[in-house]
Amino acid sequence: MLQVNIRRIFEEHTVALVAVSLLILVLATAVVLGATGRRATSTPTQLTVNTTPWDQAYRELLASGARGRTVVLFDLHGDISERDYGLRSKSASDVGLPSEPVDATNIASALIRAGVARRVFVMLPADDWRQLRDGFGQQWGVFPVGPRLMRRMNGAPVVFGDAGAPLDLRGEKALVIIKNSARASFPSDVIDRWTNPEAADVVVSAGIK
Amino acid sequence: MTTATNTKSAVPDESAAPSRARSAPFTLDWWMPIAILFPALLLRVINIGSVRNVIDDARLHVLTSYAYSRTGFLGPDTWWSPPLKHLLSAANIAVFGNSEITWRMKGAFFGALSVYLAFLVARRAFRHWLPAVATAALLMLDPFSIAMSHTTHEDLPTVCFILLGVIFFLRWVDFRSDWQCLASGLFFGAAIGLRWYAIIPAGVIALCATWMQRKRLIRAAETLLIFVSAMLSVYLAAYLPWIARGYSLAEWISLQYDALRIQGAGFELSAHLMSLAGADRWFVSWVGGNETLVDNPGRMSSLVNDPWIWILFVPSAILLCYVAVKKDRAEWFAIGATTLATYAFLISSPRPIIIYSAMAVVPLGCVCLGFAIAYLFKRRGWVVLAAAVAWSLLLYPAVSGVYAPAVLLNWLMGLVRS
Repeated sequence: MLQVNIRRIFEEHTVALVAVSLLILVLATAVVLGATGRRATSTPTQLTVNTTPWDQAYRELLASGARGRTVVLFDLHGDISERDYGLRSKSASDVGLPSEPVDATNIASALIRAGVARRVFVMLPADDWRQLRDGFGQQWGVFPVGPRLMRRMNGAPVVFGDAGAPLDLRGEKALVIIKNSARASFPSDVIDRWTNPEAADVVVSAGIK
Repeated sequence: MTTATNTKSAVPDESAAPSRARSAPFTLDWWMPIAILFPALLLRVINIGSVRNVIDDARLHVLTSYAYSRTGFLGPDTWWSPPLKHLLSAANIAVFGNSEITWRMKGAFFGALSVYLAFLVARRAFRHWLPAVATAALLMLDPFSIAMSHTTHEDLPTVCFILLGVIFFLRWVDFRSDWQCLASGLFFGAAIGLRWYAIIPAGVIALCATWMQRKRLIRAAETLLIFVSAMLSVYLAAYLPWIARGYSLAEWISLQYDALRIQGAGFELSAHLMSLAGADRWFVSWVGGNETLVDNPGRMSSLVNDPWIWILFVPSAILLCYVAVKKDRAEWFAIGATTLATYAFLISSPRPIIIYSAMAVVPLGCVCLGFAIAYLFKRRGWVVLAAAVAWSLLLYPAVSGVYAPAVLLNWLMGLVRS
């Protein structure tokens, strides 16, 4: 009896079932692609790179195998305006890579472009954050996200906020980049919280020693 | 499920019986696609490599198409636009090669295709040669459609997908087959994946389909489910390269929300682009078209609308809606209402809309005008059509950059500047 009914449902609603199946298939593909797009580092333990210049830090991160990750930048907010590397690319083959050296002002966009970062949190010292907040919040394309402000850089969210405010990454480990010269601006417990192996699997200390 | 109700009354011609009895559309002979596509393509290919003074973001589009199709990176083009255009550009380059001509050939091809598809819409809706031929002739020679065909913008593919969605909706009206509904949804999904404004015609079509089944609500709900599922599948599929960068579905929804917010926030445009904005005046006055090339004064190339024809689109759409209500023709109403709703959306949008979005209105506007010519002038409609064609031919040199007598160009320029 049940078999007959199922057959009837299939016969009478074939197209509806096809349409819903198609949607489920695309949704499932999206979930699988999203999950496989996040790749951990080839070195599962915490990796600390003490390096200068910045270009080298960027290449270390590329080589680590990390993809589709959350990147936490300490006091690197030089590139809060959107930058278009593509327009400066000489040919289509180098579209995926920045066409200028990576430095403290463009590392966020370079990591997004290369696929290492899918979202970026820029942690600022409390005083800097207060100074930045009002003017930046008025800019076109900048939206509040909780106590922070967010703008998208080529579609990837870049969130700016006070380093002391709590941030829950829901169990996801981050790639943390700290500008050496800025370390003193942050409370040590904040730095410790973000550089321990529970929170981050790659920590890069870079910049001027 | 596939009950054929293949009986439709033939006209815009008032002399025909106003009954619900329907005839089949006139026969589509083998030579018709050639007779329409060939001249339409020819008009769009002439001078394709030397057009000046058009909004041409080709370089931006090509770079993004490479980046997006290979790595899912949404740049350097704007991230808040739907990304199917990048995949379409990548496919175009993969098939036809990478050169400025092939970039533009995509526009020429879709421009010519839109002429034939608009012809098919009019043929299936009105079942009479005059509105179908009038639609094809008006759109084939429309100066704006020709100018847009010389660039690589996504509006012409969007229009083609909208027209395909409408054709399958009209087939669904005829045959009530759910497969037609599925196809319509897939094409509208592709259109929305290129341009968000396609959601307006899709919404009007969905409402009309629901209205037509108002006495069988469960059936109407199933039709709506098929239509929406198909649309959403294609739209989401266009984002798969971006999602493959590690994003979850929640993050995708967040991207859509932010894109909606940023589109609604409005933004500043350059003075040149602002001169082409303002949907309320596109259909009543000249826009653009006032530049003469300095290096060769005998030539003029410009982005130009045709207000003398375009001004008739809205009254024609209103007339079509009126006749549709009078004769209880929901599918006619759908065409008129889609034209009006899309235009109303462009006028009321909070962000500045550049004239290339007018492409969303022009093909269906031509369908409405084709109907109006046939309905109001009946068999003498061809005389009116001939006059419209002659006028459009006069404008052709102005948009294609072909050599033309200076007297003609100077007269046109004076007209535009006035």
